[in-house]
Amino acid sequence: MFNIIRMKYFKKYIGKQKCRLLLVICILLSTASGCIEDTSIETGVFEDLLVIDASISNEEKQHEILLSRTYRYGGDPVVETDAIVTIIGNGFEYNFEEVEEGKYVSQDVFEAILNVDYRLKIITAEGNVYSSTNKKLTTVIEIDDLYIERMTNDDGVEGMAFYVDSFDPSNRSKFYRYEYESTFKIIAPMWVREEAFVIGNECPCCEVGLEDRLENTRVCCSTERSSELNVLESATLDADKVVKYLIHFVPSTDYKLSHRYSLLARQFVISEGAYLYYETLGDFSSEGSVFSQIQTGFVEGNITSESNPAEKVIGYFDVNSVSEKRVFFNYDDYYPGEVLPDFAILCSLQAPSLRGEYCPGPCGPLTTLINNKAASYLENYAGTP
Amino acid sequence: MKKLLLVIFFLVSLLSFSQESEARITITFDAVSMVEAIAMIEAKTDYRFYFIEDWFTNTAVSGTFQEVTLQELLQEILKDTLFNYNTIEDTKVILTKYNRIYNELPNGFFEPEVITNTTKLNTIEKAEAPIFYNQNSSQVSKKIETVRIGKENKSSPRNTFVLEGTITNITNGGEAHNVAITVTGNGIGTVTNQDGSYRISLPKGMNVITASSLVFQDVKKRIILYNDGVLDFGLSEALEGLDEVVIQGNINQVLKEVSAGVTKVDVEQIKNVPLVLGERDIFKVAATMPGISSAGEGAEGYNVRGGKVDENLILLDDGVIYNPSHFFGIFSAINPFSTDEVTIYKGHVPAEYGGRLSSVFDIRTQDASVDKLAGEASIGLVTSNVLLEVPVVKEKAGLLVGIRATYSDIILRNLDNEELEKSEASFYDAILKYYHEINDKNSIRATGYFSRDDFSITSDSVFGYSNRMASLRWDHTFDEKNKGAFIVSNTQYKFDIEFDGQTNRNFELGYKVNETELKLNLVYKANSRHKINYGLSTKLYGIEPGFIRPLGDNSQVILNTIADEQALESALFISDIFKVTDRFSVEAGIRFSFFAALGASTQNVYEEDAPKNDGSLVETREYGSGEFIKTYGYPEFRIASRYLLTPELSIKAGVNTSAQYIHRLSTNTTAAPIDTWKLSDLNIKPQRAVQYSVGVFKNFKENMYELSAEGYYKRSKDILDYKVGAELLLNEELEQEVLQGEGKAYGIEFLLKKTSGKFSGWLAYTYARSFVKLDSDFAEERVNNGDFFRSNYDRPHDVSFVGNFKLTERFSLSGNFVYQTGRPVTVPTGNFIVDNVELLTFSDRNEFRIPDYYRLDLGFNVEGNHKKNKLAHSFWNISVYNVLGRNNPYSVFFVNEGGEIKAKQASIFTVPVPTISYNIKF
Repeated sequence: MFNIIRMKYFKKYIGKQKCRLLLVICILLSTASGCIEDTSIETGVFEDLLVIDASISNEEKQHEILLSRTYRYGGDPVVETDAIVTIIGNGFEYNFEEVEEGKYVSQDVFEAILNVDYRLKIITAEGNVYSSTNKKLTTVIEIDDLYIERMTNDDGVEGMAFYVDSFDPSNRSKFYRYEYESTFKIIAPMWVREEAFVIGNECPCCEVGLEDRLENTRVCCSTERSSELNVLESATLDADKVVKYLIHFVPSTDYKLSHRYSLLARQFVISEGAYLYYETLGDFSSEGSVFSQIQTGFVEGNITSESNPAEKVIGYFDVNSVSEKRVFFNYDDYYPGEVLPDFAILCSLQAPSLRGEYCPGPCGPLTTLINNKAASYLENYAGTP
Repeated sequence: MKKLLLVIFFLVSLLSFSQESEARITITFDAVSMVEAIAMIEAKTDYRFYFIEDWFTNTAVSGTFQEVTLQELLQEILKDTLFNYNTIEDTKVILTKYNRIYNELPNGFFEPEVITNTTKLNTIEKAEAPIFYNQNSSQVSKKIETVRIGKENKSSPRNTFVLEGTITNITNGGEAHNVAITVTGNGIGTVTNQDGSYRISLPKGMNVITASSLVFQDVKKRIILYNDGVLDFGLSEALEGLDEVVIQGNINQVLKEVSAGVTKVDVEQIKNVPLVLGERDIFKVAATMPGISSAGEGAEGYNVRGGKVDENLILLDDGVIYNPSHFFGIFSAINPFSTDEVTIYKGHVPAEYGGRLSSVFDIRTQDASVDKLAGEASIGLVTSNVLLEVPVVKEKAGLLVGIRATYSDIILRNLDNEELEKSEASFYDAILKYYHEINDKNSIRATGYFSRDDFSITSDSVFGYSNRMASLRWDHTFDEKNKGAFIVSNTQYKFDIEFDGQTNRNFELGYKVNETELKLNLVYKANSRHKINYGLSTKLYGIEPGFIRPLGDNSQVILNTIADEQALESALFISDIFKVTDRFSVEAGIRFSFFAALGASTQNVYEEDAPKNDGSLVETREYGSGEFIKTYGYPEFRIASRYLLTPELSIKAGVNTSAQYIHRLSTNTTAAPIDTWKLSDLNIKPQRAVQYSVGVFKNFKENMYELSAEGYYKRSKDILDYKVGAELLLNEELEQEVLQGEGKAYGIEFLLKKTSGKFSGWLAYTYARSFVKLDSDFAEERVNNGDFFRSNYDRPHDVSFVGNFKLTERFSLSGNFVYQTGRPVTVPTGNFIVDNVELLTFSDRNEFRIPDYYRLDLGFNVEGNHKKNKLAHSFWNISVYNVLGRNNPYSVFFVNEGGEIKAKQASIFTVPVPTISYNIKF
């Protein structure tokens, strides 16, 4: 089984080799028009399946389970409402309550404890019953270290890399999943205290005034949650060690690095089954499959329908141990004296005219831009537009 | 008459003589010398003769001719001489001795190398064959020796007798194979076999036979046949033949060969086919023939008649080549210069071959020149190729050395691209062949081959794969009826990966497959009706299915080696090519194949009627070294038949069964160099197939056009497939991941070929389907509900056009056009989000197709002039690949990019790719 895990890693690696080789060939042929490009595709067949995003952890909290349904490519997620969600374990039945559509939160605060079987049970609004296999809490360990380096990655891109170290001396953890939350400070460039507003937008009453912004909107913080699968194993190593594992990379050109950047890494020790499940799903939507396309298919999790065993259900119920660590830095710490990356939005400076062509009639484009919040005030300008 | 010398006397009667072509001459010669006779003719007519007087020292001419044409006159007076005449510019007559001047090759120049050797091309009148079979002015002839064979037996009821013998090469003492023997005037013909032997049925009485070939000067013999007999003779080598003639080589063969579904790739012709980066590629040309296709430009391997990539036995000089490709399939690893002949058996496979379900690619390297140093070299954009032929023992032995390598590394290093500067991608292949003609009964051929690819595309890894092959073949002629070949070959394919990043995960990984085969192949020509091919072969496999070991001191990777696999594959085979009647021939063959998986090994035993998984594992059995783990044996039937409806129309039908004991493992939809090969064992059954095929073959315009339609229906069972997400490399419990199912393929193939003339080429259309069914009582072993579904290589419509138009002797234009239905792919049936990650779910395999593929390539070829004495012959090729700039998707896939699923397509050549290459031959 360990080998199986390892080879998944190699396959991706070979896929990448081949993809890059073809890039080499493309360049040799001076046809670097790009071997890979976006396409739009009408895939036709659609299968409406129940998606269960359920895992609990050793954190003492109200645990959260999301129920949704598959949706068409390019479409929007569809939630599954009015289901009865229960987790059975440790002699209790933990009931979940739908707090918003598709989001079910346990009524009680609880934590998963070691050596106890937990099982998920769901009854949908249609009365279909789904249940998972029994899962136990995985080994509890801590992240040893989370650290940052400025480096150039394989693709020749320079940026900030976030690495994790971890070690389980008991040699039982072996399978890991990582998530992160990045929080970064945004300082709006070219910010001024006043904002323009439209006083009149019918000629002859074309007039724009200035007023103070209601709050300090110049500085804000934004938080983003990781949205890519990140699983790792140490089962093929002689020690249960995670060494300098890259969990996130931000290119130097990313505006998010501009001021202060913070990353909260969460390490989940997951079960072997969960690892294989995520790994396979990840393979099916990764770059590694470009030229040696892997044969895709339905990946079975550990949740089945009791009402109709043939029904396909998506999701893997797992009971994970979680540990987290945070790291933060200022731009100057790693890029002293360097120019800031371009801001997320590149503003163009314009001085649109206020008056329209006819009078009476509508005013010039400036009032429309202000009303649509498509323009912000910077300074008064008297020259030619 | 000519022995008499009489007093010179002549009488001239000049009658009406006109300058028109129908000039009539009346003349009498009374034992005059030829020179005098010619002078007399010159005096009477406007004709002027050119000849050497010394030739005619003792020739006397007598006779009276009334109102004859010059032709009639010359024919009569030159009849029994060594001389021939040639009229040019109306009034000039050139007399020649031995040499011939000709501007075209005789019809029926090539006859098929078939067992049903003798075939009448047209009905004949049973008259004495005229010596001058062609009455036009460019006629030539030579001294014709008359041979009497057999004693006349007036009471014999037979009207035809069999003449057989061996033709030798006077120049080097070797056998003269592929020599066409035609009988003047009646369309009977045959071709000598590999050992120079021939056999032909001739009408009683006088026949004039011509032995001709590109290699030899033609020889004519007058044979007066009274009974069956033997005639051996020798031919001396002629000057190098013209390329265009080679094209004609197979014309009659296709029609007359007993078996259907045989494709020959004309190696000489492929140089005109514009291919990517100017690389001549026998496989890519083969793929333009019906029934042979590939998954795309970047794909490895070929699918033959709806079969998987691993179902093709690729033989280079009798040794198996596991992965004959470079750069993940973009280039072929077989040197086109060294290749003499490629025969692809996609329908009927002769009984001597086995071990693969779909086809045999029989690639033969040419024998080195034994009399003079020869060579060929080319420079292309990506590779250079040099081939040398060095005589070792004059007229006896020669060595051929071919080396091909890419300089892509140099290009990469000089690229102004930081990302790729440190990348390496290189390949080379080398072939060495020694040929020794020991005597007319024994010859030896030894071939060594090696190919290697190396990549280091990312800074932390090195990946390489290589083929290594060696074979030795000893051909021996026992007697006139028996001959044989003894063959030993060894081949190895391996790949290795080194990963050297910065963490504790550095490793080295490798895989190796090795096989050694002994084969004895014997031929017994019982008589004119039966040719029996029999023999045996045995093959020992040794597979090292993989190891992984830590690389460097910091690596924590656990050393792991999967136990070696061994097996023995043997076969006994016999087939008879039986000429039932002149029109009807049958090739009936049977091959008994036997396979034994050998210890030392550990095998898992599972519960019956349960899916194979850890839960159903009953026990683990240990087998000692050399112990039989499991044996399999099957009779394989190889039956083909042909019926000639008319000399230019034949129909064929055949049944072919086969078994395959070694399987290529891949979880990808297309093949890759890291696919491994696995032997059948306790849990993995051999794959088997049966193919029924029929065909109609028609030639037009004296074989200038060939038209064929072939249909087939093929069923296979226990073909290997895999569970979703299976991992096959370094897996000790492979059987848990493998599925064995059924295959079904059928198709109809049309081919129209023009083989000679200013324009040559072919147009092929194939309609073919290929399906797979993976059914089981257990859901986990079922794919697409256990129904038949389209295979990964099911491409119903396939059109190929390959053409070459000769503008002059030196300039030609060539073009290819290819159209194929898009390859089936599995696409998502829905998106979903888990842990804030957007992912995909997939359902039935291969429900969708990527867009259709089409491509046009054009090329312009310039040949150096054809002067005989030129030291070297050069050839320029300028071509544009994908002229239309069609962006043919190679794959369509979905990728999570920045948290969002995006559909992408990958294509290899999206714009026209111009290329220039230069070849020189000396």
